[in-house]
Amino acid sequence: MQNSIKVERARKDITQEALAQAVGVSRQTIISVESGKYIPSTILALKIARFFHTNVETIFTLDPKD
Amino acid sequence: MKVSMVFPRFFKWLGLLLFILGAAIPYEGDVDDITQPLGLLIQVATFTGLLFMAGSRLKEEDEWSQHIRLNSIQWALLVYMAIRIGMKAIAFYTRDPDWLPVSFQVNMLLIIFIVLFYSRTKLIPFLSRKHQE
Repeated sequence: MQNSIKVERARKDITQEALAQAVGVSRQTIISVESGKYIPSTILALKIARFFHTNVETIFTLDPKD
Repeated sequence: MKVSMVFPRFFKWLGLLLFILGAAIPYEGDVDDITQPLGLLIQVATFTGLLFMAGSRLKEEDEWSQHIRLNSIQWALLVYMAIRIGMKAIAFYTRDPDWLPVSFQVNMLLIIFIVLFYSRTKLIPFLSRKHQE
């Protein structure tokens, strides 16, 4: 699964730490999600999408491998 | 996210203390002989210490740390079983069934888990942050 969190963060000019605090997880979780090492739960994906005022599919997209 | 099945954070240090105390007790007898009070005390202290360390909460406990916890348990079990099979093979070829203490075998699973879990939640993130800076 691919994601555009880094792009969305850059667009909003917020740090990983700020995003982590806003969605209630650790910075390490955001780092792992951003780098694609960890696929977040539906709840976290929805929280991230809500934070960026968009829907989940805009941020998270399926890979051909998935 | 509601996180369950973890001890409070200070249990990590309490567990480390218990483990060190248990391991440091001078004892000449067989640690695996639990009919001896001191042997039993050493086993209980080391095992409880490891259990506290393995199950204590991180500073920021969330779904990622729960994922790492579960993944580390899976890997620890695989590594543990591989070591056990290796030990059985060595014991068979050396014709010595007592070459590794039972207490060590019991603690080994938790030791492998603790090493895996803390290296993945503390050491690797720390090193990668240093690398980024």
